[in-house]
Amino acid sequence: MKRYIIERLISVFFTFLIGTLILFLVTRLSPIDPIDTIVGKLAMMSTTISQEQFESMKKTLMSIYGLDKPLLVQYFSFMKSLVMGDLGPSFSFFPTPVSELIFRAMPWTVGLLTTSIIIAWLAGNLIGAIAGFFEQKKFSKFLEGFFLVLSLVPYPVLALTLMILFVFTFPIFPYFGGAPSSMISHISFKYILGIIKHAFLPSLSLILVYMGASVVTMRALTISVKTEDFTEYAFLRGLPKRHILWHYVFRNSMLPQITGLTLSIGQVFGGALITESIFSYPGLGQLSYYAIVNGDYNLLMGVAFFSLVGICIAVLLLDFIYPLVDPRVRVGE
Amino acid sequence: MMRRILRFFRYLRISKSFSYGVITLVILLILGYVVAPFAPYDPMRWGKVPRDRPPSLKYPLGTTTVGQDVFWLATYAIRNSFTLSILTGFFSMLIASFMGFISGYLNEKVTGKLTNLIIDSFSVIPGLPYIMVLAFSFKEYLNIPLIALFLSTIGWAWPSKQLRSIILEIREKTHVYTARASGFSLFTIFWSEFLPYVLPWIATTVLNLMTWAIGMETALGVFGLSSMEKATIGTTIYWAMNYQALLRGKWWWIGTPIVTVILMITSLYYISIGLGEMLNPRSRLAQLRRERIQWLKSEM
Repeated sequence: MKRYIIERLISVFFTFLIGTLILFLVTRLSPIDPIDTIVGKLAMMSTTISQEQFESMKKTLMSIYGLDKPLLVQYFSFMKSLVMGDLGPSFSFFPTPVSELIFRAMPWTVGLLTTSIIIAWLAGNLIGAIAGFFEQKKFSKFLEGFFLVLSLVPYPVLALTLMILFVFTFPIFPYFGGAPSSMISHISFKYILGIIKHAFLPSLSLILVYMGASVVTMRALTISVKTEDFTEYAFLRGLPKRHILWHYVFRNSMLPQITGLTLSIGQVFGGALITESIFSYPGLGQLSYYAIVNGDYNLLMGVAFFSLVGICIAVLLLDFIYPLVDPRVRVGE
Repeated sequence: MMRRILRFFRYLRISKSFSYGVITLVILLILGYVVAPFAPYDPMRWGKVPRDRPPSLKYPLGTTTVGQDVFWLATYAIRNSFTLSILTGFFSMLIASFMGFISGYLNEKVTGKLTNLIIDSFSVIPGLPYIMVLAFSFKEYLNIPLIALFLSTIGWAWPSKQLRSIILEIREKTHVYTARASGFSLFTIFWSEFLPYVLPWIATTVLNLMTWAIGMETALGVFGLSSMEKATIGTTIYWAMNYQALLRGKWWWIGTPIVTVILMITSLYYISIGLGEMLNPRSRLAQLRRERIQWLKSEM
C-alpha cells in the first residue's frame, strides 16, 4: 500500500510538471509582446520619451524578466520562482504581482462554482435517481428529454439567453460585477444580499447545465442498477419500493457520480471562463480571458497553475477515496 | 456484411430515439453537403438580399441585418461545422488509438509508462483556455482544418485513458499471447487482435468527440476566436450577437443556429447511444426480445 501511494504521488508530480511545460510553451506562442504593453503604459505616463530611451527601457525589462533567454531556461526559472511562491508580475496590470490578482479573484470563483456545483449535483442526482427508478412513467421520459436538451445546448448560448431575459427584457438582476459597487465591503445583510443577487444568474446557468448532465447520467446508471440480480431479488422479497430505491439502487448508482463531483470540484480553481466573461463576474475565469486577449502570459500561467494543482489533487484524492467508498475495490486488491 | 446492414435497419425500426438520430443526421447532411452548393449566391456576402426580413416564402428563414439569407447561411454553417467535427473526431481518434494502445499494451515497459505519463499530463490541462490561447495566437491563419487540429491536440487525452484500460483488459486473453509468441508485429497485433474488440468503442467515441468539437467551436465562435470568414455555427451566433439580434427581436437570425446546433448534437448523441447498444453483445439479448415483440405485433 505504501509503495502504491508513493508511486501515485511521483506520477502525479511528473504529470503536473509536463502539464505546466506544455501550457508554458503554448502561452509563449502569443503574437502580443508583453514588454511592448508595459513600455506603452509607461510611455503614456511620462510625456516625452525618445526612441533611444524606449529601446533601452525595453532591453532592461527584457533582462529583468529573463525574456531574452531561451524558452527552456525561462521555464526553469519560472519553476524556480514558483517554488518560492512567486508567480512574477502581471504584464498588463504592470506592477501588480500575479499572485495578488489571483488571490483577489479566487474567493469569487470558488464561492460561485462550489455552491453551484454542489446544488446541481445534489438536485440532479435525486431527480435522476427517481426518474431512472420509474423509467416507464411518462414524467420520467419527459424529464430525461428536458434535461438532455439542457445539457446539450452549447453553454454560451444558454448563458446569453438567461442574461438577455433577466437583465434586459425583465431587469430583475444586476449585470456587472460580483457585488454592489457603491457599497464598501463590510459584512452587512444588505451587502450579502447584493452578492447573492449578483451571483444568481451565473450560478443559475451553471446549475442548469451541471444538473442536465447529472440527471441524464444518473438516470442511465439507475436503470442499469435496477436490472441487476440483487435488485430483482429485493423486489421478489417484497421489500417496500422506497427502501429499494434508496438503499439498493441509489447507493450503488452514486459511485461513478462521486468521481464526477470530485473532478468538477478540482476544476473549480480554473474558474468558469465562459460564465465569468459573459456575466462580467470578477473571478479567475475572467482573469484568464483577460490574460489571453492581452497576451499576459505570466497571469495566464498563474491561473493555469492553480487549476492544474486543483485537478491533480482531485485525481490523487480519487485514487485514495475510492477504496473507502466502494468496498469491492478493497476486496479486489 | 449484408447481415450487419440488415441488422442496422432492423434496429432502426425498433429504437425510436436511434431512428430520430439517424433521420435528423441524414437531413442535416443533405442540407449541408447536397443542398448548400446550389446556393444562388455566396451566403457570407453582405447586401445580397433585403435586410431584416422575417421568415417568408421567398426567404424561408428570414434575412440578417447585413443582408444575408439565413437559410443558405445555415446550410453553409452545417457543412462547415460538420466538416470540423468529423476532422476533429478523426485526428483525435488517430492519436488516441496510437497512444492508448502503446500505453496499454506495453504497460510494463518504459515506453508504455512514458506514454501513460504524457496522456495523464494532457488530460489535466484545462481545455478551453488552452484552445483559446492557440486560437488567439493564430487568429490570422484560422481555418476549419486548423481549428480541428487544435481541438485534436487536447481532445485525444480522455479517450486514450479509456482505451488504455480496455486494452489492459483484452491483452490478458490467450489469442493475444499466441499472436505475441508467434512474433507478429505491433501493428498486426493491434489490427487483428485488438481492433475487432475496440471497434464499437471507437464508433461511439468518435461520435462523442464530434459532439464535443461542435460545442467547442460554438464557444470559440462566441468569443470571436473561430474562423470568421467561414460560416459556422459559432460565427453565425457571434455575428447575430454582435448585431444584438435577440434584443432587437430578430429571433430567426439567432434562433436558427441555436436550433441547428441542438439538432446536430442530439442526433449525434442518440446515434452514439444507439450504436453502443446495437454493437454491445450484452444488450443484444434484450434487443432480440424487442425485435421478437415487434414481429409478433406485426403478425397480429
